[in-house]
Amino acid sequence: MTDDPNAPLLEVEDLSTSFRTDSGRLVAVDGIDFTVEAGETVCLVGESGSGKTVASESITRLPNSPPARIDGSVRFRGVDLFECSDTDLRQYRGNRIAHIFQNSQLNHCYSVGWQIVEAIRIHEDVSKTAARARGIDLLERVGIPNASSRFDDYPHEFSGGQKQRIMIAMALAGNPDLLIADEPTTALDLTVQAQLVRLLAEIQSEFGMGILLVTHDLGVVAEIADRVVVMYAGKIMERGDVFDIFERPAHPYTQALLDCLPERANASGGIPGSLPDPTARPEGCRFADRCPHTLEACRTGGQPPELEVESGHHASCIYYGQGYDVSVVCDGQGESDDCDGQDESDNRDSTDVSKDRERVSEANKR
Amino acid sequence: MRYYRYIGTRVLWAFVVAFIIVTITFVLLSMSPDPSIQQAATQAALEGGDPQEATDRQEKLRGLDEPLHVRYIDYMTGIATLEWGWSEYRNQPVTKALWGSLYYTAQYSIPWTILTLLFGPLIGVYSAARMYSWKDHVVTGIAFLGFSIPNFFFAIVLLLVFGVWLDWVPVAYRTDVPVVSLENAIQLALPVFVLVTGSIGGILRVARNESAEFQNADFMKTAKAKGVSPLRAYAYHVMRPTLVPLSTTVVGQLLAMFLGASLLVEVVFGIPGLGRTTFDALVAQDTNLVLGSVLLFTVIGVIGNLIEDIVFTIVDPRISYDDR
Repeated sequence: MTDDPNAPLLEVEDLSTSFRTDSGRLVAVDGIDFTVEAGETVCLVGESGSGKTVASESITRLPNSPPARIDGSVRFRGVDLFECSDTDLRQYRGNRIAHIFQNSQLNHCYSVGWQIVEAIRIHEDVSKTAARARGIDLLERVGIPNASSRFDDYPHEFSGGQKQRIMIAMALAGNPDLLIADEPTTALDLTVQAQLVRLLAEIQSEFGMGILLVTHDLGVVAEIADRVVVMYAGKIMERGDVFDIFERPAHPYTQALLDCLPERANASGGIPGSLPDPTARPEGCRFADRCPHTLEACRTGGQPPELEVESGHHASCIYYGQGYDVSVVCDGQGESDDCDGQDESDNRDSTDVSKDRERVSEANKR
Repeated sequence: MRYYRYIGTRVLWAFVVAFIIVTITFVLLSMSPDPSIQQAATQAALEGGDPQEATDRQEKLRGLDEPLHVRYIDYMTGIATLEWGWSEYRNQPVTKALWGSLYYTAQYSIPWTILTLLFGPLIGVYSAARMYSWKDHVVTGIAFLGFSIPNFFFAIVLLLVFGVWLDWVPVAYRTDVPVVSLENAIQLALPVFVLVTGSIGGILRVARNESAEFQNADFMKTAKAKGVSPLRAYAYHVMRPTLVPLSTTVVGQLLAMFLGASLLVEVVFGIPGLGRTTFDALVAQDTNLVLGSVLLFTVIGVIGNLIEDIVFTIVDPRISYDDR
């Protein structure tokens, strides 16, 4: 149970989550690996149904089992959370590892103060008055006006953005090392989204926690991500530094995803086709059916291994392997033939990320 | 502050409702023939007197020759000052007769209500937590059995088995044992058991179905992510929202049992309680006593609904008490 402060903050290895359903076993997450270091923000990106939410919730074993089956290993500061008993795991949940979900999910029967105090007192043996004072501080920190007088109000008396702020306050109650935020801004309007993203960034620099942000909003990714992991149909398609991903998306799926951004010159307005059936995954690459560059070899075997595009940037696409013409997948971007070329990339299309950042900061001002 | 005003208004409304019911009872009563007058007239006719004269005399004696509004005021003051008249059949004041019966009714009603309120929601939530397991099926089966089997029939069967064949409980209810004694507990065990099985089924089903919805609610995921143990999550996060819809059914369910089923159970077990007294008063055409029982049941019903209204707003803060 003792954890090693020098070990990586979060190491996820071969994580698989499947659900027993009437129409067979639904594999939501199919053997993925990623790491999150202290102080860093990793974004898990993908369209709805790609398994990113389930992956994020599986880290603390939140899905009820049965029907869920969670395999693999998740090491937090060197401690394998999947080897822990339920009681030991509860010491991590909400204390070391905090969650925020899409749509603030508060209990409508209790005041927000009660729920924050509950979060504090589960992990710490403090008096009710002390917990209350801390809770009010937290509410103030996340920007709830008149925190002390609103402490005993009920969730329905707050707006959607405020409720999400309360969720963040509750997540901070245990002073977590890792914050897992699952689409925290999706249900909110653009101005509130921008404020919340900024709040998360502020809190991160203040508390120095690692953040795993699950989102399909690439604007948010551009705003706060350090590294990006792209998921599709339960598998990881591409991973890399946020600038690499936005400037030189290597996997056709990532390219298609970025082309959906309306600000992009060649905005596509969507990816044709839909996700493969999660109860019967196809052979070969998961994206083959929707990919414009599909070869015969894409449809055999399993998902291709993650091949190096450049240092710290990997894509699960056979074009990056031996004997394939990389320019085929890169031409789709209308860019240089040589995708691996580091030399010219820096001054090339580097405006893309900054454009996205500009968009978000404009929204902040509004 | 608004909250106390809400409770104040509700209490006031309870009085208004009681007032209306009492008035309706008076109107119905003034329109129906009084058996004592008919009796006097028949008596006079049999003895060769003038039936009309006897009727008048009897009416005068009972104050029925007064105008309607005077009688109404008299009647209302009588009710307010707890002078509910003389029971011919029991040969004692109505209030005293009712008080005496309430004493026995309370002895089984209070444990019955407490047990139902305690175990109904608990077993229901437990059953939802173990949904579709054999435990859930057993609980559901027992709930339906208790709910559907007629109470008086169940009571007779139990009395036959435990009273006659096994001889564990006395067949006849004894009023001479002290209230707090093993004998009293033994003789009340069966009626309480019969009533609990009858009333717990409905409550248990509502609790099970409602909490089944809440145990998969979004806030349960939040609770789990906070590190809340499953037991605490059920005790606080599931139980509380479940009590909201439950509080609306519980009072109605208990009152219906209180008025209907308890009479039959009292007859079967020979308990001289409220139901039995009302029944006997009806058969004996003892108007004052019937009226008194109706009033008592009205009061209990109004108080029950008042409690329901108040509990409702306590358990669900979203229910607004403005403008009501």
